[in-house]
Amino acid sequence: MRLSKYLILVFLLVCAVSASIAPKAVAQGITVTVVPTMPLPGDYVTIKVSNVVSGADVGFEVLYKGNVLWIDEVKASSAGTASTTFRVPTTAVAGDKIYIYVAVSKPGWSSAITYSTTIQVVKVVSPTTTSPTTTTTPPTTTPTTTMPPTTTTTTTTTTTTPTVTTTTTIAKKVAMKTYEANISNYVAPNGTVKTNIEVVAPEVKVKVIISAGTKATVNGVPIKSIKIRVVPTPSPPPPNIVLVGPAIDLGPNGTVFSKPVLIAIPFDPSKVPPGTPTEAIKVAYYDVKLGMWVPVDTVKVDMTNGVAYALVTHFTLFSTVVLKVVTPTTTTVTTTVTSPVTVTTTATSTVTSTATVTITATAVKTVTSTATVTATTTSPITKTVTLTSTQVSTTTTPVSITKTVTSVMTTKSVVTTTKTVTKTVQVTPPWAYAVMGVLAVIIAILAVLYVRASQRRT
Amino acid sequence: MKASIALALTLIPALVIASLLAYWVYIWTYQGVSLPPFKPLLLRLTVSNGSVVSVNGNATIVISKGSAINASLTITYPYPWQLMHQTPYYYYYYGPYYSTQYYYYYSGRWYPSYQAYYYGYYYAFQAPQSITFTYLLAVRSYSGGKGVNVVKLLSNSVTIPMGGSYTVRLTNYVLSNSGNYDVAGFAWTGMIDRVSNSWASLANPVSCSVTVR
Repeated sequence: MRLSKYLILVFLLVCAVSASIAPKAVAQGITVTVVPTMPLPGDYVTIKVSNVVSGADVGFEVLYKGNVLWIDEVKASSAGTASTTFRVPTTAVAGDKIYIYVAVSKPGWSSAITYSTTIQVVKVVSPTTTSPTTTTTPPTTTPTTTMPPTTTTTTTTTTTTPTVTTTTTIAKKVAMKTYEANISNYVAPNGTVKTNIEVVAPEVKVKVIISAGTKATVNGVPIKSIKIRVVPTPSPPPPNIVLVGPAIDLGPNGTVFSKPVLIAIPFDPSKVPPGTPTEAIKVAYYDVKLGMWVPVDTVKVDMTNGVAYALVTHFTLFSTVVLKVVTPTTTTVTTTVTSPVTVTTTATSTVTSTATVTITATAVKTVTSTATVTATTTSPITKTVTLTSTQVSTTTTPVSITKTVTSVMTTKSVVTTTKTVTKTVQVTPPWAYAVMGVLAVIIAILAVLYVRASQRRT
Repeated sequence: MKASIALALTLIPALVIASLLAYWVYIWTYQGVSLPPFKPLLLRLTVSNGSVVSVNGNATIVISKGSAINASLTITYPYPWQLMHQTPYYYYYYGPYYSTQYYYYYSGRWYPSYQAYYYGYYYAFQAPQSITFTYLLAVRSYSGGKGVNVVKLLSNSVTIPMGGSYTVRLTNYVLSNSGNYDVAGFAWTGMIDRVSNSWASLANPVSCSVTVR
């Protein structure tokens, strides 16, 4: 009886010593977040790298028009993060691209993990700088007037970028809360817009800006005019969305643009719930097929004047909404799978707008595989997470599955670029464990034989 | 009593074997993933406004708008023993080359001996006889603590031998606008967009703040 206890003790000691000195498998992954990815000229852009080994060197390089706009080298903090900021040139114009490169050199002499992305500059032309310099007959009619204004004013003015000219057109009131601007003179026969066009309906604070070179067609036919209609009773929003402005029907309905078009949609700031961050205020369009309001890429929210700016590629029914923040929920399930490991899990978003669902499968040896999917409907999201054979060391591996439904605020325009690069660096070779196990058994056998021999001698 | 002796006779060899086994596993599987970065270069940045000289940022340079600064960045690739007491991680040992034969102890830390250098048993990867790197001497502007952009950049790829150095100078550079700037020096394997995952920082960066009033 005592002998068996001794043997167990020996086994435990061997196992404890072996386990304590066995090197940990290391999976080095970095997460890079760039905010915002569609900046305005003069905006500060923050590049944040996380999930980095503490003390690692993180290099940043930002290129703009072939020149180095920003460089930096930061040592990762104890929390495994590093960040830097740069400013988009104030002379940048819409469509300009900024190339971002990040490299993380891992401790030791392994190759660096690199990440690159491209962000695009957008431009909001403020009303003060783009209003017509000369207006022969400003629209003086009240919204209730049924008679249309008599004059459509077309002037050329200079925007904030001196080299770009914009043609500003005041939309003519053609019916009750309906406006129309003729732009046929500025559209080529193939539908390409010849110059920057700004269509303004000042009474309802709606604006449409189309940059030169954009192709604007409806069913393949070039558009000749832009219609703006205020819809009195918009469709009811889903429970997690609050409409804070009128619905604006931009037309011709079905118009598509080859490049994003900037639109300004009004809203009533007094209807915005107190404490709501501006990131939660979005321009949304009504998706007839889904029967719901879908937020679009909103680039700026002017709380003072009650105008939200967004980039769209088609004309339909727009409005301004406030997204309700959904508290992130996390569900963790632990299961056992057999190598090779394939984990299939399903996460269902409970929100009816865009949500990001992160499914993380964590195996032993600290290896993590993450899959992020974005859903715009309430249909279940299924994602398969596969761990390679190098990420497990035994044939039966516990796998922890974490499903996280993040806030609906984490839409494209807020956290615009997040990418996780996972790279397995070093895994203890399975044969080392095999050798260790065999030797442990030999030790045990020798111990038994030795003790028995001792007992015979006594 | 006999049982205690038997226990001792069992445990002692078992622990010895287990320790050896652990050591072998450690040696076989160790890949240096927990080591600090390998940084063989030393940077020395000097910035001057004509009266005040800052070395590696030990002083803030203040100039009036429209005045000029002079800066020089010297990159040195010292012999290993010249780095001995400055970057001790440079001499960490690696796997099977681990040997106490080439150790000596100094100021609370173990170092390889000069014989170790001669036999080349001093670190995982041999220090090359010459090194090629890309230097970056940048003047960067800041606003409210945030980086704005690079207003001037000197950068090139250079090869220097072990024990050699290279100096790049920025002479009479005029800063026309008031604000906060810094002069920063880096030594990389190359620009990230070109070298990709071969990127590494070869020296601890240095910088010096410049205020233009």
